[in-house]
Amino acid sequence: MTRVHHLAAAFVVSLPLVGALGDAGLAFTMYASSVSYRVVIDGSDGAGRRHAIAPTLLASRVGRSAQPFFAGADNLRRTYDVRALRVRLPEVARLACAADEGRSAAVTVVLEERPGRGEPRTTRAEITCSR
Amino acid sequence: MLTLKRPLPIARVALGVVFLLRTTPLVNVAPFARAFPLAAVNGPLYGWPEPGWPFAWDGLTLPDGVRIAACVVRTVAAVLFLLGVRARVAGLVAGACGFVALSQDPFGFVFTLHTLFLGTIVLALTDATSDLALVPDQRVGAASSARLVHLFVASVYAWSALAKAQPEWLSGDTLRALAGDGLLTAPATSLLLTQPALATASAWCIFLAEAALPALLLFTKTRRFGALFACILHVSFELGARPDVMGLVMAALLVTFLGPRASTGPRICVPSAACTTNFSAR
Repeated sequence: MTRVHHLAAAFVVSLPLVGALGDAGLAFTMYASSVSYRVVIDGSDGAGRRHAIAPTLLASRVGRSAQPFFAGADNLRRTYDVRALRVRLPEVARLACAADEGRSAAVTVVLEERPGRGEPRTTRAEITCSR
Repeated sequence: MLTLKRPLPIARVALGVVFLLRTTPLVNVAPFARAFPLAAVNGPLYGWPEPGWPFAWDGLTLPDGVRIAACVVRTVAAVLFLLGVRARVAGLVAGACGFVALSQDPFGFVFTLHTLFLGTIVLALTDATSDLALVPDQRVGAASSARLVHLFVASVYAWSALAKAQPEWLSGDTLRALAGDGLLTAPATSLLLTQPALATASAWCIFLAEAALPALLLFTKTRRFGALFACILHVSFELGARPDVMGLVMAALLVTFLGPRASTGPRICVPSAACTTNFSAR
């Protein structure tokens, strides 16, 4: 093989490994496992009073491909890869701030995952809303 | 078995057609929409900006103008790649612009597009651009080119098998879940949900097939059989799941295994002579 082809082969063969570690999900996992997940979003006002923000409220403010991840996600629902949501919880929190129309001073987003096999996993993001 | 004199350029043309089909509204037209229900293009081209909160890989959100430009450049480059007009550069540009679109829609990520764009880049780096081309590129080496594409295709199956080497898949639970969620065809859903043992057996068959394919595809003596076996596997996927245009993407890439029987293995080097590669054309 030529040097360029050696480098290209090393790149394309190892890209899924890099993708598995990064946030792009480039690994060829081909929907081999399932996960049930739930999104809990809490807003708190300046006085510390907490209120729930429905993920469905966010679904109307995201693009078409992201809508299924949010609509009805306050109840457990099944999908085949929730990485795209997990690694973007801080952005989801910022979106929740915007969707809550100034009611929240801070927002907490919790993603609960229950894999088809394996240990449950909880990921949390908390941000202060800019006014 | 079928032998193609110029499998790499044929694969380029085939993948170019699939590229244009999958990234333009052509895929929404009736016969294709029926054949590939999971493959739809929203807007004038795949990756066209849509309203809504922007998400992107690593938070690198691009302005709408840049995304639109990338869509247009990608489509022009894909046409040039198909026609063979400086197809090396065109394929690299088309694949890279494809990844730009993927990067701006992380929730819409599908493995089919990832494989399509990466496969286009891989083919662009080979002799696929030197034949069946209006403006051909210089050759870079037939054996080396074939080896690169073969390694890429084999790695797709290897990674896929690795992902399935876990209890949830091998128990058939994932297949039953896919069936329960309506992601498989009606006959497959009916079979898998009424006969649980069939889901387990199918899961094992798919895993074993994908695990065997890298070896079958990389050994010179078995690679044609491997390509045929892979095609049969994709036909079964189409019957059971219709996974976007993945079958077409892989079929285009599997064409590269139908060349004259030339060793694409390690070259033989002896201290007193130049390196040689063993060709035994049939």
